[in-house]
Order: sequence, then structure tokens, then C-alpha cells
Amino acid sequence: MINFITASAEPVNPLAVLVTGFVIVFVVLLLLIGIIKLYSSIVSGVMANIEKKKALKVSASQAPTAEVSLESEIAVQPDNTDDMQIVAVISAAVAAYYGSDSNVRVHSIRRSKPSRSEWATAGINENIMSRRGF
Amino acid sequence: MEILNGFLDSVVGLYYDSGLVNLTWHNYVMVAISCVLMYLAIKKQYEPLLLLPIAFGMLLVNIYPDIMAAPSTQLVPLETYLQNHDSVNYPITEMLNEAGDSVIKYVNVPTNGGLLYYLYQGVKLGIYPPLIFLGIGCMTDFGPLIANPKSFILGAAAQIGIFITFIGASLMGFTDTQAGSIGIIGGADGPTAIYVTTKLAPELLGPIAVAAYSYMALVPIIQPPIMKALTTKKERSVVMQQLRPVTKLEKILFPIIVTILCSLLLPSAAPLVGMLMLGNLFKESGVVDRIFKTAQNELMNIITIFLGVTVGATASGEVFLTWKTIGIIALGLAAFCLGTSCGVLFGKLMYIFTKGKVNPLIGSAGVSAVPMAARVANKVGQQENSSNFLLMHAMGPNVAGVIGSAVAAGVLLSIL
Repeated sequence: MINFITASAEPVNPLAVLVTGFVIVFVVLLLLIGIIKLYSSIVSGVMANIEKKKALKVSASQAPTAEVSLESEIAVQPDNTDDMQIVAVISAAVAAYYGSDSNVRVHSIRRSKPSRSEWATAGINENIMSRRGF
Repeated sequence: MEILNGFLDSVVGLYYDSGLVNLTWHNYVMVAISCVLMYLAIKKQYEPLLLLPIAFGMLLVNIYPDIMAAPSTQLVPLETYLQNHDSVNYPITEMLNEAGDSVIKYVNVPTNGGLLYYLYQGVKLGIYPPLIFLGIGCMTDFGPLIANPKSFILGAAAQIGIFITFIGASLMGFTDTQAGSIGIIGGADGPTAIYVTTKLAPELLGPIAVAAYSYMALVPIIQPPIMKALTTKKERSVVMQQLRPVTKLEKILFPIIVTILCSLLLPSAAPLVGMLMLGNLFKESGVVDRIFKTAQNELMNIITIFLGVTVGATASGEVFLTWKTIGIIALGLAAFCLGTSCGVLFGKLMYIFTKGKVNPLIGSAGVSAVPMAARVANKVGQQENSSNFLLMHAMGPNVAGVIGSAVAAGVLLSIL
């Protein structure tokens, strides 16, 4: 396809280019700011709803057995004052990470799988301590 | 004796074919310049991934100009042609001899172009820069920008340098399209500069590409004095609040939304923004691992080689060693400095409006040059307060700058 240019190319006013460029770049990027803010709030709203529903489902399905499982855990790990301390420390760290004005709620804490065995960790710790002169 | 004569004739013929006879002083100066650039790339490691192929392309084209020669047709007299060949497979042109009394037949023998001429088509047709953007998209994390969308303001502010330089270049006598191509150096984005220049002023591609990549390599030297001159010690020491975490869904939606919006409003920015966002969608979607890896590694590396060598090969002595080139390099520096200044000044405005929550230094990262400009902002911030980490905050304006310069390129392509 051939497009014929009928009008002769007129020189552009440089100032007009400055103003046009400035305005269009700002308008497009300001629009993007607006849209990102909008969809971020929508996404976070949707995610919160989904999590709420999940939490409700979990609590509804596990309600009758919750006490039993709690008891069994206590049986396995009788000293849970340490656990509570750990929960408090982790929660404080998370809260500090997100800043003071954020509203953080810790739902669950899971131990991540250690990258090496307990024995290997103990060995490494012992090695480090011995080098430090302890 | 005949053998000796034949040998001497051949040697003389080779000598006349060699660069020793055909090259001008321009070419030798360019060879020297390319050696300096290679030194900077290898020893000083200034953007070596691009500077090295560019410098080598420059070297090649100035020693053997035909490597960039376009395919052409030679007119060989039919009789001469038939002495070496059995039949004629090419069209024949008939022309009158000088006296005008007889017709001489010529065979139109096509000659292939040089190696780099063919590789250069990817630059000329605007194919390589968007493909480089695809790779950049794969490597870019827009998280800091989504977490703090206000960074877009800084990314936009740093583009003002492009348009101010446009005025300067127009006043210096460059044509509108040339001025637009020179201004885009201020976007500090190599592929964008090359893309715009091939569309608007292909004759200036060599100097503009060299200027753009040189300034990007010199970001750590050019920016800090401007940043320090425009900010106070108190402003530079501002510690910014931790960015919020961004969900995966937001990261996936971002490239789609940006593509739709930018391409709708500025269709001429679509090839650059579209490919950038496609690369990012590859990364964030997490379902096309193979394509994602290829786009950011093999494809990007191949294109970088082709782009670098052929862009370097546009800098032949006759084209490069002119007063225009000096003007372009000076204007490019001005564009770059103005972009940095506008970014920092808008950073200062944000500092005032947010009552001291934004460190104005991050504004300087709005000039793209990812991630060097963000690293420089971080480094200058740490000179005031060694425990201040501005890197992630500066990455927001930095990646916004990439989108901003692509939008600015779209504006220039539309109105010029």
C-alpha cells in the first residue's frame, strides 16, 4: 500500500514539541499511576476476600477436631512457653519489616524444612564455636 | 620472466585493492577511536557488552568499507562477460557508444552486499531494538514501581531533557527529525535511541548510538555531581519507608494494562512498550520458563552482537568525523544532564509534598539506564548515610524511565 503525502511537510515549532511531549508523557504516566493504584486496591480486596473465605472454610471443617489436634501437639511438645515466645519474636520481626503503621496479623507459623540435617548443623555450629575460642 | 611479471602484477593489483591505497585519513582516525573504545570496554569495562562489538564494527568498516556495501549491479560488456562464462543469465542493457553510431550490449551482473549490510537490516527495519526490549522486559522487576506508582512522575520528569534538547538542536540548525533523534539520547536508553533514529534520521545513527551508549556507560561519572549540586545534605540523607510487598496477580496484570494503555494512546510506542511488556509477562506469568530463558539469554545475546557490530559499522570516517558529530555529542550530554536534573528537581518537589518522606536522589534514576542509574542513586545516598539503602526505591523511577522514554519516543515519532 502506498500512502501519498499531499500536504508539504511544514517545519514543527520546537516549543510546541516541548509542550506536547511534556504533556503527553506526563498524562500517559499519570494515567498509569491512577490505573495501577486502582487495580492494586481491587486485587488486594479480592485477595483479602479469598483468604477470608479460605479461613472460614478451614475453621468450619476443622472446628470439631481442633481441640484434639491441639492436645496431641501439647502431648508431643509439653513446653509451649518457648513456642509462645518464638511466635511473639517472629510476629514482632514481621511487624517491624512492614513498618509501624501497617496492620499485620500472623495466622500461622510453619517451620521451614532445614537445608541440612540436625547433625550437620550441630557439627557446623561446634566448628564455628571452636574457632571463635569458646 | 613471464612468471615474475605475472607475480609482480598480482602483487601490484593486491596493493591497489588493499586499504593502504583506498583508505583516507578519516578512516585511520576512526581506527584509532575504535581502539580507544575497545580499551575503555576491556580495561575500564564501560558497558563492554555493547561497547566492544560497537568498537569492533567501527574498526571493520573503516578498514574494509565494502563490508557495509549495499548490493549493486555492475554493467559488464557482453563480450567480456562471454569470455569468462558460457551463457548469460542476467538481463542485458543496450547503450549507444560515445560516438552514438553503434549499440553496445552490457550484462547487468548483480553483486552481493557486504556481510554487515545484511545484518544491519535488522537495525534499519527497526527489528533489533524491540527484540532487545523483549529481553530487558524478561530481566525487569516492575515490583518497586507497582508498590510505589508515584515513581512514574520521576520517570516522566527525567524525559523533559529530551524535549529541551530538541529545541537546542533545532536552534543549532539540525532538521526537526534530526533534532528529535538527538534529543532522545537524553532518554539514556540505547535501543530506544536507535529505534527512533532509524525511523527519523538514519544518517545520524552512528554518532547518536555511540553518544547514547557512551553516556550510559558514564552514568556513574556524569550524574553524581549534578545530584549533589541540586540537593542538600539533609535531603540526601532521607531514609525511605520499606516498600509494600506486591502480589503475583498485580505483577501479571501490570504488563497487560501498560501495553493496552500505551498502545491505545500512542500506537507508535507499541513496538517498544509492547515487546518490553511481553518479556515481562513471560517472566511474571511463570508458565513459559523456556521462552523466558531464551528471550533473556540466547536471543538477547545474539541480537546484542548483531546490533552492536552493525551500529558500530555505521560510523565510517566520512560520516562520523564531521562537526555535526561534535554537536550531537555535546547536545547528547546536555540532554542527559537535563534529564538527570529534571528528575532530581521533581524528586525535590516530591520531598516537599510528602514532607520529607521521599529522597530526591531517586529522581536521577528516572533517566532509564537500568540498573546503573539506580545503583548510582543508592551509592550517592550511602555517601551521606551508610545504612541507607535506596536501591529498591530508585528501581521504581528507573523502570518507569524505560516506559517514559518509550512513550517520549512514541510522541516524537508521531509528531515529527
